[in-house]
Amino acid sequence: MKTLCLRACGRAAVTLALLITCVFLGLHLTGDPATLILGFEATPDDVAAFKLARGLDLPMYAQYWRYLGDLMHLDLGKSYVTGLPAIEVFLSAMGPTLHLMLPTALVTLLIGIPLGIVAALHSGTRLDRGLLFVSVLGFAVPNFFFGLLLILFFSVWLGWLPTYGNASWLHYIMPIMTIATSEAAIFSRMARSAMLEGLNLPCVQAAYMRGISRQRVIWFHAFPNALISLLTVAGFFLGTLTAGAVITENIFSWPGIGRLLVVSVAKRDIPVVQLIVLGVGCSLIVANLLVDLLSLVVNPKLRRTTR
Amino acid sequence: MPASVLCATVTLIFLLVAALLADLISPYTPEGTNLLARLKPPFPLAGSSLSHFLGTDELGRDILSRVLYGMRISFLIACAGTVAGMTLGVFLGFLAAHKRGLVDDAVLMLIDFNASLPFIIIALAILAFFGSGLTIIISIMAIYGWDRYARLSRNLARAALTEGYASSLQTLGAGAPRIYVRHIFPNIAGMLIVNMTLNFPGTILLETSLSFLGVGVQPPMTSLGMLLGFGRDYLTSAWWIAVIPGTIIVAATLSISLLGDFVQNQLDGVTQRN
Repeated sequence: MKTLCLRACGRAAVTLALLITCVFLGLHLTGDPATLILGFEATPDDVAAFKLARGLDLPMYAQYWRYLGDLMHLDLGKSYVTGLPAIEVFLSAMGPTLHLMLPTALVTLLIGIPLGIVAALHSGTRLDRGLLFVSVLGFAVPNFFFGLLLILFFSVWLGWLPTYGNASWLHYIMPIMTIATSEAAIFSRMARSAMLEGLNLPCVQAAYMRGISRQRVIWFHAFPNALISLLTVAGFFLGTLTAGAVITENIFSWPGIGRLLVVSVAKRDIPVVQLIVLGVGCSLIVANLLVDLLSLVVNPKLRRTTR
Repeated sequence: MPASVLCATVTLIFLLVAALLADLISPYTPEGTNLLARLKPPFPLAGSSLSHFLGTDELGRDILSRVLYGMRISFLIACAGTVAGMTLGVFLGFLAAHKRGLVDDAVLMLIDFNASLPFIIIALAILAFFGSGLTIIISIMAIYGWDRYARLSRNLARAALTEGYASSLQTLGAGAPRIYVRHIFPNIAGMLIVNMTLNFPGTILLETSLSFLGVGVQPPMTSLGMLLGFGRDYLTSAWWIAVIPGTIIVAATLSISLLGDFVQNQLDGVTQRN
């Protein structure tokens, strides 16, 4: 157990180190930050002074060391566009994104899990195939197109819902629908296979044979087992949820991280971009680590497997 | 062959031929404006005309022509990106299978790393660092797909190395590159092609997403995603500008997905029967 936990932590640490190194290298391949910030009219003296002040004249390993130090202090420079510290810009966009992602995750679970269970309980029937078709469709229609269709239907034709911003709860409906549809499409398939797996477990079959009612077997024996295997895909689910939020925030002009990221990329506001990549990357790495550790706690089977 | 797969194949061939023949069959040039025929709706609707079958946009540009050229760019990027991703992935996969040890661990670590972040964020970071351009976008598509090819080709090559033919070739004195390229690669090509059909819709969606966000393909080039993104601003007055390219994206990705699933099931059947 202890070694497995340590191994999970070690894997997360390596991924984190790789992420930081990649961002650092990416920053250095962008070209000379001096010309990017000072502009082309800068005199050679200006450039030299700038490089001295920012430590750009140091050898690569020293710069890397310095960069790690800056990261520890959360000192990631100022936004080229607004002049505010990048960390402030990032944190102010964090709230709206979390406000969007939490209800979306809830809706996804509330749609995806029941649909998956229904499909598993009726596997092989017409109902199962119908649900498969719906989920393939939900997955094939890209977020950005589905969002536009929602706007067209609910805002342009019916005039019911506002199209941009996050001022009232009405604003939440379409973004949540956009992300949750594609997420629930994938998640219901995962829930279906997890539930099928749970129903076919020997202990669940044995429960049937002991004469326990079908309802009881489904909800008290198969379902908890399915939930455990669903936990292992939670990390993947968080990743697709984040990707969905990036696109969807841009459709509905939601003032969150995704919108900030795309606007900063378009303006090549490098300090903000690197902070978002590092921030989102770290959150996901930590979330994945927690999922791994939690799986070890709730699923004793994982503890016994030694690789 | 089920009807849905047949339908998907026909749709796909139709779209591909249309994209290839864009020069010949598009009625107008994609950039040709006609201010007298602005915001015309597609054919059966009131106010439409047969001369602009799918309608026109805010500058009177013919949507059919723009969609045809946009399809060509989108498919081209997806194809080039898929081929580049497969080359990179297979190379690294073979390298890992051949060298083992540290190289193997390093490749596996890179694969895990690639899967640990949502790819759209990696793609946006690359675009911010290096700016946009056709080469960059194709490279991004290659980085999007390489990990699955690498994992697959590594595992398949390791399995192939334990079979008789690889060791007999070694005994015959064939060099490693020859064994991998001329003998192992053709043996595992089937699996790689299946992976390609599974990967291709994702590649198209990635490019169209980036172009939709305005950081992918840049004007004067057109891609389906870019057309959709521009159409967003005219949803209230001219919904068809966005809906037509969007429908084509869905048709293309849906039919490739259906086809890929079908081919995979068939191949699974073949391997099970053997």
